[in-house]
Amino acid sequence: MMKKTRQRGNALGGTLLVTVLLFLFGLTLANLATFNLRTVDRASHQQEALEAAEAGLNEVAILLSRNPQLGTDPTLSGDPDFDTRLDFEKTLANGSHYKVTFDRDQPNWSYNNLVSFSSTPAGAGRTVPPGHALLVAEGWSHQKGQSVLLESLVRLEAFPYAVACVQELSLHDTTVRGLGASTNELTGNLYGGAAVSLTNSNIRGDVVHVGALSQAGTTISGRTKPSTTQTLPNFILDDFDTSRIPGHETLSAFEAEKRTVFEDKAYFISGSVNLGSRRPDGTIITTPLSLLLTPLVPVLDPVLVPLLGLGLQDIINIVNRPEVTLNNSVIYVDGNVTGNHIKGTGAFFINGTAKFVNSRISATADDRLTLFTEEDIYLVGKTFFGGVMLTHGNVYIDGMVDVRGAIFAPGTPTSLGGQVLKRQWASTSIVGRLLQILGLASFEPSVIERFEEQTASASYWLALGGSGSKPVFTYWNQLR
Amino acid sequence: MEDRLTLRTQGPLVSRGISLVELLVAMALLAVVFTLFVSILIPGLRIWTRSREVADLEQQALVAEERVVRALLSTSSKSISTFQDSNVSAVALLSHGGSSSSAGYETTTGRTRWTSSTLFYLKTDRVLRQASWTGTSPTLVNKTLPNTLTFAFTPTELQSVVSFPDLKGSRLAGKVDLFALTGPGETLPDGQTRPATQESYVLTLELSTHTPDGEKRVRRQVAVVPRIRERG
Repeated sequence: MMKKTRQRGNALGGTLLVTVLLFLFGLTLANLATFNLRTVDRASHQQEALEAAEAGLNEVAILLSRNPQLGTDPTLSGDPDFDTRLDFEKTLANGSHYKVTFDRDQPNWSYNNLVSFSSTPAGAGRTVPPGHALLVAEGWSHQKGQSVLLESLVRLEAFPYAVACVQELSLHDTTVRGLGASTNELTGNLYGGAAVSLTNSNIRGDVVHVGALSQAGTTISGRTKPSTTQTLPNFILDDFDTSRIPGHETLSAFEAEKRTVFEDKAYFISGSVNLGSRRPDGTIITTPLSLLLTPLVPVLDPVLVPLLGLGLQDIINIVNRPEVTLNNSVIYVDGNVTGNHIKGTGAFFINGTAKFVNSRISATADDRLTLFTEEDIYLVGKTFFGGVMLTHGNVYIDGMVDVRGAIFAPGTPTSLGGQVLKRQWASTSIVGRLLQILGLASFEPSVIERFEEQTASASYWLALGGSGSKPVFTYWNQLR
Repeated sequence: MEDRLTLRTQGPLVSRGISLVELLVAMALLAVVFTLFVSILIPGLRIWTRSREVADLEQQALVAEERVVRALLSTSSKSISTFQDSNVSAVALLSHGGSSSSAGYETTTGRTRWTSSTLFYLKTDRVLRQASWTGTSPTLVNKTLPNTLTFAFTPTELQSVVSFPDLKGSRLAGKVDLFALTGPGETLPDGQTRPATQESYVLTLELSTHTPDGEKRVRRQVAVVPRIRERG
């Protein structure tokens, strides 16, 4: 009896074993057969999630180019129509969806530092450079929850040229280039909306010209491109009127001239101002040079003013002034500005002319200055300028300049501006020679270097003014 | 009941054995069944083998494509260089070391900090990936890493890199006949010239294998736009 029972058990065990083996074999076969399907399926969903995340990045980047204050504190803006949204979430037509958030209480938050002049800490141990926005976008596929996390730095770019103007462009003894050296150098392109005249210059980039091009003694490393008229970035000065920004400080010209430090806020200066020209007690600073030259004013000014656009009296008032410091200041001047030495970071919006003589302006690598003027800009003598100049008037360079940023003269249909002229008269005329002897003019070769950190900062203001600036991804990474 | 049990345990059939006829019939039946089974199984196995071969090719192409595309996405078009001759086809680009724990950019300027070069190359029939150049490589002249200024290798430099004897890339795919990256204004492997105004690069991968039914080819082609925009 025992033997029979054991035999029956063996049969059952054997059958079960074979069944299990067959089942496992079948399962393995099925698994193998569907492996490729699952791999392709996963890759497809991963791609879908990536595309969704990219859609999120692009969407928010475009929004930033139209409204560069997006995702920031709405109380800092005086705009009643300020877009207060912090979350940007959307389900796409294929069912995938993305999310970009500026809300710091949520994971993977983005940070808009376009407005700032300094690096700022953000989430996940990141630091966001000035003039950039760190965008973090998460995308999900429509099925199976595949997700992708992208991180990108965006800045706004409105200045594709080192020098651009809608009217005549004339440079002599000038090197125009991009940042860097030798083979790594970026381009320093020129655009002239009318005749372009280059003499004894070195252009390390392309020259785009609408009118005739003359290039005596000039080397052009890029191409010369005849062109139709291009639209340059432009602005409406009234859009930058700081008096509408909450917390702004209104200064009279007299008060402004006593200041040597402008703080991290918005200022509205009513009237023309000669920066750094007064002592704290309000008396005008005089220098030995000014005492020496004052008798010459009646003689020279009738000659100088028509030639230079500013007279000896102006020069006396400008040179040898104390340095004025901007600490991320935004200054609107309802008048003209004359100045000597300016350091730090900030932006000037000048509803008149700007005149600088023998000046050092934003001379260190971290300094950034954006200068918007409604009328002409004069750079006389030996001037270093770190930043972007944008004017509805003309830019007159009389002497030697070292610009690290860009010079733009987009003009307006109603203005007479739009020229950038480095004038040669001073090196040959008697007055020019006299200014040289007095140390008020220099005719060393000039340098204009396109510097993107400067143009990024200026592009923010243009975007804020509604001109729109192309968003550029300077960094892109797939984190997950 | 007892009688029936007795009959079963002591039955004459058990002791009598199996006759030759019975055995032959059983064998014939088994042969028929086996023949039928094999005749069904062999084409199935052939299809299975072929499918496996093609799937393997597809798989390899997919993996290689994914790796190359991912590297292309995270770079600048100005860092991409290519070299092609009868023996080797190579693509080099710059890569940043960005990850969840560390940013791959300069925190003051926002420029991407390139930390290494990545080389994809086709040698004999394998696509390989080499991503270990940091600092100054002996084969690269005046191009140092890390660097925030983007550069690309010249074709001559790239040729010297791929002929470097110690180059030991990791394998991405085998049985590869064609590996090419076509930039704007360049000519695709099929002879079509791409417009110079396009920003994308076209990656073409072609793999082949021999199956009992002949040669099977897999071709993948994908357009990629490097996401990091070079300044300048």
